[in-house]
Amino acid sequence: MLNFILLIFIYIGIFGIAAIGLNLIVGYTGMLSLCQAAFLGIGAYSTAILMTTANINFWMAFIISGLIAALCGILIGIPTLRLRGDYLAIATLGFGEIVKNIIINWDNMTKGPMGINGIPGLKLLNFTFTSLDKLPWTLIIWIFVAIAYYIVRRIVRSRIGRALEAIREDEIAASSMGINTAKYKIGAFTLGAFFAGLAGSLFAAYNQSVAPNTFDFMMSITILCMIVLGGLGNNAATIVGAILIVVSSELPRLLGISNIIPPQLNQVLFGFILVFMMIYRPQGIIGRIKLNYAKIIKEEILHLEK
Amino acid sequence: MNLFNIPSNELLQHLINGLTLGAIYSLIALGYTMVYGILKFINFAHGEILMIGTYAGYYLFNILCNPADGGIRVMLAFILSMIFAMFVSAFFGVTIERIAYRPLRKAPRLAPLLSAIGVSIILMNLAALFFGTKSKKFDYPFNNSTIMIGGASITPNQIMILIVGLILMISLKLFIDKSRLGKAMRATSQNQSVASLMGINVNFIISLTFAIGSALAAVAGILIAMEFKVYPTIGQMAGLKAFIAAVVGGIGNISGAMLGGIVLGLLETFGVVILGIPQGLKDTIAFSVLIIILLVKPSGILIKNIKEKV
Amino acid sequence: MPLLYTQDLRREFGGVVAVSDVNIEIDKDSITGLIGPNGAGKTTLFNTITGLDYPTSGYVFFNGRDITPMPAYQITRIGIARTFQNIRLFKEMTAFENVMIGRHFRANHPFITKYRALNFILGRIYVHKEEKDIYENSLKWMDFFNLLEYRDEYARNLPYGKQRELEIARALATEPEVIFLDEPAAGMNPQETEELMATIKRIRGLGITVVLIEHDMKLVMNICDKIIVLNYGRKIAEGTPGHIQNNKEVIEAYLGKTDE
Repeated sequence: MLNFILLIFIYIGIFGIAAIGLNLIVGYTGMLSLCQAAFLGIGAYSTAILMTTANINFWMAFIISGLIAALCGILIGIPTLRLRGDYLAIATLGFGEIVKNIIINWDNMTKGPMGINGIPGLKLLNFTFTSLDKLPWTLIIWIFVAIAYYIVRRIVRSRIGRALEAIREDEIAASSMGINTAKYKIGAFTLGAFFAGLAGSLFAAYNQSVAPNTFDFMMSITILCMIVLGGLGNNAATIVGAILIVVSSELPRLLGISNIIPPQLNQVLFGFILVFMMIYRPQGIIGRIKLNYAKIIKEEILHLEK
Repeated sequence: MNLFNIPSNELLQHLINGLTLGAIYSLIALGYTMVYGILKFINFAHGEILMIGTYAGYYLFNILCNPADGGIRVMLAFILSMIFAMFVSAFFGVTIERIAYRPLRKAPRLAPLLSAIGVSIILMNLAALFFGTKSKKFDYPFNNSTIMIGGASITPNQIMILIVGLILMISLKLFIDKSRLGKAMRATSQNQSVASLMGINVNFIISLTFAIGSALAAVAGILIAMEFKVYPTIGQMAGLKAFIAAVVGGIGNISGAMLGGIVLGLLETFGVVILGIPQGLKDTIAFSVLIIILLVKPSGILIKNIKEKV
Repeated sequence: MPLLYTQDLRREFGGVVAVSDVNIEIDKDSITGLIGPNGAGKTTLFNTITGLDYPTSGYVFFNGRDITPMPAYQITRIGIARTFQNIRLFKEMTAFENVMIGRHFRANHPFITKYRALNFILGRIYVHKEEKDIYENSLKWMDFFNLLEYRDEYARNLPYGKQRELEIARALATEPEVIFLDEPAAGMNPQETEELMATIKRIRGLGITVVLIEHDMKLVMNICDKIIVLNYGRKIAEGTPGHIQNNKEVIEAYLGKTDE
């Protein structure tokens, strides 16, 4: 039982990191991205390939995977700069499908639909952690959740966060105030993709295997729902959303009735929650937190002028 | 004639296949484009509405007759099933609009989009629960042996697809352009508030739009079920590609949807042949077309460039 | 040489010509008014000058430099600011934060720019100077407009007249050489309009050139040094207020030909 709970924590953590990244893109900057799963997949496969064929240790693969995903973030971010709301969403959707397709068909690298198995465990000091070592993995993953959380928090409470909010509210007005909106939008996309890449890397290393159909549109939607459920533009609420969604997906197994309840029923419930939330509480369970930037600066300046 | 080193009879074959595929895409694309034209909203659940209608038609068809028998009874059953499918899809379309989209008309963009995704998820999984995940084939109500034309083969089903598609598209165009309701639809899509001030019942027009778009999708769905098969998630890929077709032609533009569908069908068919793209990557053609169009001319082929008013 | 001038500026939308071969000159330290009936192309002209729209043909020169292809944010950075016909404040931000956004790029400390994100993440040590600049300058501009009492109010809660002033304050925080005001007096009562006139004169007093689109003739005739009149995208008249008031073509444009 404890094992299962730890497993849930592991997945909350992994998706939490990806969700924090997505929140930066969607919640703070206002760009609707439907391809976060693709970045996860890119990160996961990068790690898988690096660790199996190139024999690189996890930590290096981890960073490189994040960077590769970030690069892809730039790749999709630049062409879609001029696209407005709905169109941007569709473009990211298309991008996600293209990535999945490429992964499935690039047999030489990715071993196609079968996926890559036998990824070596994580080596830390003298220990090797496999998917059986749930506690160490949980700790490692949540350390990264904390780091991701901290980084995004800092960024959002800064000048950069102000610019992102301005862009989200009114991109035209923001650019008329001299803000280079392209730079910020691409930056947000890239960082969001970076985190997703890291999450994917953890996913691959923990499971010690990857398969292309895991990282599909449904996963992107699931992550999106985590941030919407918690509250867009609210970092902490994202974690809450992740907890809620992962737990509710695993509820049948938790309660031991997974034999009786088919997985589709869970999905139906999920769909209902989505529709319900949008109609009755679109701001999410916790809602957006408005930062008082004047206050932040005052405290920061006073703090430093003491 | 030898184009790209392909003999002319093969070209004809691909043309037939491409047009057939394109006709199906067009029928589905019309639903997307009509709804977007009126509500500026992408109905993510359109593919699932197609799927539900198709299943309805499939079951009715198999209840009413034994397809293997052939003959008038089977043809009649087929026509009835087709009409039934259209009604079922229209019903679902209108109901979904009423329950899941109407409350969100004034909400920020993200809300109705996510609601539509939610509806899509619900329908897909309910279908899997009720109809099973194994795919089903809609049997031909007639003898579908190939006919040779100019060195290419065409099946009666393909002929039917082309004819039905053409009839429906022409009817729709005439309806929109000439009829009073059609005028009301055009007015509503241009400016809802003004249309309502002029006495148009906007809610009714919106429901009508959903009904028509859904019915057309149902037809397409049955055609797909006959030419290929039907399964709970068929709405996803078919819907996505049809949406791409709508964007290519110019979303919100009815002629655009028709054009886009044909273009996409031809591109996919010829793309595989000319560029030698492997079957597995066939879908990538559609998505690449999407990205290219969004980069080069996001408003689509037929719509003129409109700058946002400041 | 004029501070800013256009050369045969033309903007077509499909078949419609919104701005038709317009040549205007804006002199330094002047207040120039741009008037004309609705749909004459005034806002479109503003948009092509300030980078929100690209002309079909023609040029815009600022301080002798061709700025025609420049995007909006660059144009603002070289000293051209603007406000909008429909007020585009950041509604969910406070008044103070709105002005802070205006000040945003001016506070760029050359040393920090490349690594600002890292700086903020690691400890906010070097960004102190930038933030102080933004904070103090925003205070200054809000004070200039007597808006300090609204500091922490959400922009959407401000009274209408104050919102318009806030938008101007925000634009001025970018420290422009010239500011384009698009119908700043729209929706204002006579008293607010009087205050606006005084404000615009104060702005000129700071050495900032003003160009404004307006429909309020009393305001325009009162404070503008020069008035330019557009109709159907073409410039039909140009001159001092007195000259324009008596111009037959202008009167016809507004009132329609008497023999129709």
